[in-house]
Amino acid sequence: MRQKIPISVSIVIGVGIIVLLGYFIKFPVLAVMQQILLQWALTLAAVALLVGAINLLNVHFRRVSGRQKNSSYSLILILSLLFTFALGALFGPKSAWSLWVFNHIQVPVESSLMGLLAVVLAFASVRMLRRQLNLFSLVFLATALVMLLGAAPVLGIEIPGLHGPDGLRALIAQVPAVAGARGILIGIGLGTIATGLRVLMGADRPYGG
Amino acid sequence: MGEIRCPMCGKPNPDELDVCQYCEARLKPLIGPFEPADTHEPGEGKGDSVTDWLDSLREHEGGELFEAEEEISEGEEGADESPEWPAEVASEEAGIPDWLAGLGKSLQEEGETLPEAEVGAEQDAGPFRMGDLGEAEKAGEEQDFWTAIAPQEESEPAEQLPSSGEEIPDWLQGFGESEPAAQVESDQVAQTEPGEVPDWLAELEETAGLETSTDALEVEPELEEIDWEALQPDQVDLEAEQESPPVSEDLPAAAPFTLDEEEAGLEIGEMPEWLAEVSEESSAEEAPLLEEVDASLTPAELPGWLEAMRPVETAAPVAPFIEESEGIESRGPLAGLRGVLPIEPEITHLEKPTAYAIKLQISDNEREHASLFEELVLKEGVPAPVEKGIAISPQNILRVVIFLLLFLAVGWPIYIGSQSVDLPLPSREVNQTSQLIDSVMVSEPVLLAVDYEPGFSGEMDAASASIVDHLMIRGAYLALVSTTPTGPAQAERLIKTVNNTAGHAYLDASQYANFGYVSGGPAGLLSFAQAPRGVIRYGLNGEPVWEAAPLADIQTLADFAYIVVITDRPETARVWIEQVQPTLRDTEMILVVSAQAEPLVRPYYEGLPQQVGGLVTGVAGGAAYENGMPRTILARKYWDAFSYGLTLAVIFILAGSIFNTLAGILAKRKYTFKDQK
Repeated sequence: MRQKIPISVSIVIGVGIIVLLGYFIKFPVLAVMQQILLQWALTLAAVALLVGAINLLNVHFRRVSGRQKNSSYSLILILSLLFTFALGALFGPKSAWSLWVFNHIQVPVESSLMGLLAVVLAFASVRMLRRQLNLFSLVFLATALVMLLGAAPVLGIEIPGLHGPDGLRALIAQVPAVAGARGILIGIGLGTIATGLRVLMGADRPYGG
Repeated sequence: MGEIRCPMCGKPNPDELDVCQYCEARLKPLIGPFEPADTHEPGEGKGDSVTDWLDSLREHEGGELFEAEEEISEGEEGADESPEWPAEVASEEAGIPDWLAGLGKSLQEEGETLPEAEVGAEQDAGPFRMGDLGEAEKAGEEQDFWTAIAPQEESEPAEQLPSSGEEIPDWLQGFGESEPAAQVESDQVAQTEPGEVPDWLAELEETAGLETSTDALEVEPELEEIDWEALQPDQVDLEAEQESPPVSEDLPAAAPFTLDEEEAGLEIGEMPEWLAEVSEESSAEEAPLLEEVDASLTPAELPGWLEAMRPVETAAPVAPFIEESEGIESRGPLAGLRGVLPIEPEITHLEKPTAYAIKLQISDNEREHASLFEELVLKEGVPAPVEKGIAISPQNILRVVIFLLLFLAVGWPIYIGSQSVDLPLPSREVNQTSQLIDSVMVSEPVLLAVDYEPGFSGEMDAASASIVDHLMIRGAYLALVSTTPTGPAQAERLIKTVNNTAGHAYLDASQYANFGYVSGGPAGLLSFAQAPRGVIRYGLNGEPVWEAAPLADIQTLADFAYIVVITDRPETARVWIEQVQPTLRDTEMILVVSAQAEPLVRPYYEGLPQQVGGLVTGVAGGAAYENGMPRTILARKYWDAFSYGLTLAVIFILAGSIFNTLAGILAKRKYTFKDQK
């Protein structure tokens, strides 16, 4: 019995093969087709972003209209979104109003969250050995302390053997860290190849169908 | 303790049982008073209920055999006469005449040649008659009786009938004239085997008008005791019986349905006086009749040759079961009939199912465990109340202390503008980056990708500000692009920050262009790398970006002097390196990344050939870069705060780790000590 292949799968496999061949075969027609398909991808991704924004607005609008719990936050989100969109639409994204909103609201809020994260990480590191006292915890903690101390002079004083291009911090960052990172990158590359092949063969269909 | 005979299977059962222990048939009827089934005999119980007159009626309706039974019960004289001649036959057994011997041989041959159908017919007819004669007679007794009477009847017609008909007893003459069953059977045999009829038997047929055959020997002895002359011919007319239903017009059976005035006044259950008298007399006469008949019959010894002659026994060695298994219905409209189906269906015999106690038989201990388990299950569904902790706990105090100390360590140097801590020395990758930017010509296009989130702006601004400042110093034309939605605004913010801190006056369109946001992730970057004009056509304000003089010759990203990527995420850096760098040919890529992305980006820098021409990581990288620059911007301002904050964080972590390690060890020892106790 012949198995029917959905149209979406055929499209995905065809487009993937064309784009993939464009990397290896320097054929003008393939290059043009690859470029056109990639530009379609950009357009679709932008539209998807717009659709996501509309969906976000719709979801929070329902919460507000349904008077659900914590709907006041949804109302704030809707007002903020509409206000920012109105500023960008009326004055442009590079206008002083738009940049003021970005510089004085978004950047401080997100930066404060990162500053809070620094305090939380410090507190967690303090209590880490109380929770879990073993060899790996000790190695992790020692490495973190070396990297922190080596990132900047201790109270303005550089410690020989720790700071500098040939110090312990640079050694850890360039040898074991790079070795581990390369292993991770190789794993990412292999996983990407496998995933790409599965998508090209239709085994994986993250797009549905 | 009495016994009750089962009306279905006939087996005796204790009288206290309601259901037969063999066949589970009900022994005691559900309606009306109970009477043991084995006590009922034909003709009994006439005076028990109102249906007794129906019993007598049914006996008439049942045919002449039932009437014959009544005759037997009414006339005891005939019964007294019957034992005489079997006794004579028994006395003559010693000397069997020749003619009987010859007859025995002929009968034996005839029995061998008799068709099976006829044998079967004989067997079928036999049980029916024997069953009608009463259940008191057993099969063995009947066989004995047969053996006693068979040669007598054969011999008597041969010797006595030709000489004088008066010598034939009246009862036998009546039998010969009125026995319809024997006549029918003899007709059948005579038609099938006429040649084997003896001469003397043919003469007997002519003189007495009686068709005789060897089958006539099957006539029951009880029938011989009946006064056949008293019977009306129309009552025993076999043809009329076969053609018409059992109920005859001549019989008084219809009388009960035409009640006179006296009978109409009777209620159900009452019996007319005349009927009560008749029933009493008949019941009193019938019981001794059968007993006397049985007692008067003496078992005879049958010779071997005569034993072999008995076709019934050879064909049906087993006594008919109907006689024992079928009882006579004693009550209801079917009273007097034999072999009727039970009144109540089988389903009424079903007893109630055994009732089992629903309550579990468990012990107290098990019940306690079950209740405990149920309580635990119920508790699972109930949210446990959260105990309100102390508002100021040691952990909260510790958090506040850490926050305050870090805030002071970071904020105070920035607030006072301290620059006491020396900047780090530029590393190899920082120097390499600085050299690359030093080679940028005035108005040479440099693609500056600002791909970091606003939350990382503190670190990334400090890391990248010196490089942007360096580019501005070199007079490069900056093309700002981003793969994150907030990137374009972040790029504007970076340019404005560098302008403000370094004293530049980079203007839009003339000295830099903001391409905006490139969607699509890796695919978008690849497309942008291959054909930037196809992906980006207008700037952030809607102006055509490619019309600027520095960008006029740009067809691919390889046409830019340098590609500078500022990002806080290693994934974004990897995408830029993997998707864009292969298309750059001789154009170098410089990465300014956060400290967290350094481990994953450094392999691209350390690798051969280098995929990344320059690398600046975090605030330390920016500070080192500024250390090589003639002026300080953001990294310098942050460096003291960064140094003090990191030192304080390390002190906190180290002290807290030592304290908590000791506390944990002591706690373990404490628990171990308690366990040992």
